[in-house]
Amino acid sequence: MFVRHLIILLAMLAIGSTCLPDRPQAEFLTPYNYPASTTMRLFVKLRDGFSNNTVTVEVNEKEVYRKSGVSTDLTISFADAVEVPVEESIVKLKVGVEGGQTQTKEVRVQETPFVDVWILGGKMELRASKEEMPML
Amino acid sequence: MSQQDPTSIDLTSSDFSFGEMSVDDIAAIAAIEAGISEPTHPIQGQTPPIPSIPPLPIGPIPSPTPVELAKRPVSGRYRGTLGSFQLELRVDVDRTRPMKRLSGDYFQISGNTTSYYGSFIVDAPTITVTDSQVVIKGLGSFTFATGYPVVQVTIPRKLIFQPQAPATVQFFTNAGVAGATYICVFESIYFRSLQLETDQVSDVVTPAFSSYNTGSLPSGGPARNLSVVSAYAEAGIEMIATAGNNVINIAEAGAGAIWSNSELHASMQKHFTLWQDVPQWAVWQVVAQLHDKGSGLYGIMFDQQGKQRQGCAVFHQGIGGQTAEKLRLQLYTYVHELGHSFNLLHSWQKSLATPPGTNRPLALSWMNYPFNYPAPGGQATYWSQFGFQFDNEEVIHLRHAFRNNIIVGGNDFTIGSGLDQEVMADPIRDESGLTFRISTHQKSFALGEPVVLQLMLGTTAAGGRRVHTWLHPNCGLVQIVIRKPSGAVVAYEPLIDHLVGQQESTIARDEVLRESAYIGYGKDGLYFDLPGNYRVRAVYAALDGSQVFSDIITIRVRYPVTPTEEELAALFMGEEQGTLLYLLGSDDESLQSGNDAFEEVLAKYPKHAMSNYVRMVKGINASRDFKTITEDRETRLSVRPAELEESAKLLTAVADSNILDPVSAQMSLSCLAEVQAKTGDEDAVNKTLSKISAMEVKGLRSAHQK
Repeated sequence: MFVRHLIILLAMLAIGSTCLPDRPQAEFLTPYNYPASTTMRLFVKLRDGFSNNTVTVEVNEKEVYRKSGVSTDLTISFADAVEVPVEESIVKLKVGVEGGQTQTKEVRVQETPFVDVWILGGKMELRASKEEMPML
Repeated sequence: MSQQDPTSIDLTSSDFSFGEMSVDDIAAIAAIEAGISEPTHPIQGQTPPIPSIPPLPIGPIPSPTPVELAKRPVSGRYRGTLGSFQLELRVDVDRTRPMKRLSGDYFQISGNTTSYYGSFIVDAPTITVTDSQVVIKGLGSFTFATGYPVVQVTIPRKLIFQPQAPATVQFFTNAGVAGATYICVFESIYFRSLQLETDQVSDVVTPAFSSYNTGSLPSGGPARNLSVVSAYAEAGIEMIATAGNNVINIAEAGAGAIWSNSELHASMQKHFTLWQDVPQWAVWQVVAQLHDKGSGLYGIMFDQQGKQRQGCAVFHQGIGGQTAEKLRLQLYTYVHELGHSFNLLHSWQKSLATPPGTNRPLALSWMNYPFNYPAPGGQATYWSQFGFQFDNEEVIHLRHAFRNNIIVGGNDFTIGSGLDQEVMADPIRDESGLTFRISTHQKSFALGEPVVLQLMLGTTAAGGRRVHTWLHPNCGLVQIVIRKPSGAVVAYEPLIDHLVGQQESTIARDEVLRESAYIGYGKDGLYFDLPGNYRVRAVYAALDGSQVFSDIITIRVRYPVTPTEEELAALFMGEEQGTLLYLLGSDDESLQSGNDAFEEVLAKYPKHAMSNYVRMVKGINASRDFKTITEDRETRLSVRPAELEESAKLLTAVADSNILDPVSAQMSLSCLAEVQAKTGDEDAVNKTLSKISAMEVKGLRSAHQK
């Protein structure tokens, strides 16, 4: 199932790449500069509190990210990021640490496409925002 | 949201102290806090009665009251020397935002070398102020063991037009017995001074930050023009901008013109004119356009390899511009990243430090995130209340942290203290003109295999250098320090101390004096008794007193994999075996089990490379007479004569094995040549001497040669 979704995702990216203007690969695209006909994107960033963890991210109960050895760079409070194309304007986002916490949040992608995941004081929080939260 | 510590100094967001405070102010505050009220002042809340006014006196007009001249503040940095120790003292009881602390760093001066020794801090001193002096006294915390932990600093008070008086620093036991006394001359109003080099990449399209008027937008604290330099000056840190400002070609960022951390580090090593891989008070900040993590990365302290925290970067893709908001953001980002170079963590993650601190998510500090501010109003609240300063705990760290916890290139990021770091630390200064290198002849050793260190002494002085030639640690003039895989740091102690006389030589610039030393066994037993990585450093005590440090090398001891390796490890790793290797053999009965183990090595593993160490030890022992003092009344001295044929056979096998390090191999061959000469085998002697000559490397001289 996951492989099929991955193939679909890759196909969508391939199609999308022929329609989109050139952009630096590293830059997140915001809903404000995306052509209206294109699928929306959810930007999930793993921030503080990760220490050699295996982390999973699910959108609408479909796993879109799984990685082991995830650790926070404390100088910028950042561990990793994943960019997920979505079609629905409201999605259910679930982030889990293997052997640890899981948090779920309903995200209105058009309004708050950026979600930062913080583990502070042992508690995981998913914070959605309209604009990308900087790192420094 | 984390609870704040109610006993912390930094209780709330508002704690602005921008004006100067005198010690009198501090003493008065302390008196009020202690419940002592001044009799001439009304008690708060009560109105004093109106005194009756006496009639004016008839007579000469009285002289005007003399104006009391202001006294100099006493806070700042002082320096003094006692014997071979130098003390850098920091007094923090007045001037701007006094933290009411003392701290200091010790340095040890030996000849032409200076090494950092340790630090102390007095967190809660008693401050006694009189008209003539200030006395600050309290119990210190030290990075080293001391029997004199009470610190007292006495500073005479001077008028503002008089020179600053020196500080007298005395140390006492808890019982009040006096220890050392230092007289420290005033050096600076700043607690620490640092050189700041700022370079810019060629593709940055907006101007690098210069200054921002904090009154341009709503903020806490007084409005003022702030630069990076003045922001740190307010914290008591002097940032000296260097003249080495380069423009870096964007091509160094590779294709795509975006920077990775590795590229930033390489650029730092190339362009930072002050870069050295040692702890120092110098930092590099580069103004770049874009990092490979995207425009959301405003800045990064990228240097987390080797000696960390030496450089940071800011990225103008996200922060560049000339609006008030952008200038404010630039000031904040530039200062924030340099804060990481000083080993400051973000406000909400102080508990992640080693040792842990207290999280302060509500701190209005350079080290907090305005965009993540947890109070109602979030970012707007932060900016409207932020006074453009560090919080009190951060100021204490900047001014008074133990040296290695803050100095750029000191402890790794987040590591607050490392008591054993000082043992292997680079010297601050080395003007001895000597170089000292150590190495091993192979990169790794089997468990139990004798570890032999090669030591090489050279000079950079054009005219050569006069040195003593006692390079072997047996002689007490070279010290070897070993950090074991567990992290424990031990000094190698030779089994037998050798008292040596004068033996000097002059080495030329292209000449190297060398020695080899077996360091696997000593007074503390076996030093390489576990598999893993060991870090080793040696220090040579030069004739002028300089302590010349070698490089630090890593010696890997391999895990035994096969049953043969396991058995050989067991046969080699015994106290008696270690002693036999150290003594190069012995007939002593107390070491018989060691000799038996070596016999077993030869019997069971005659072709294994490690058996040649046994042949060397037994061959050298057989080459000499062995005298034993017995209790027999008739023959008190028993002599086992040299077994020359046996010795020649064993040492010839060693010579053919090519397993030993060069110096040990030469030593074995020299012994073999002597044995062959004693047996009258001239042909063999000539062949052996030829082998010795072929091994000699041009410019290398054994420490035993004159």
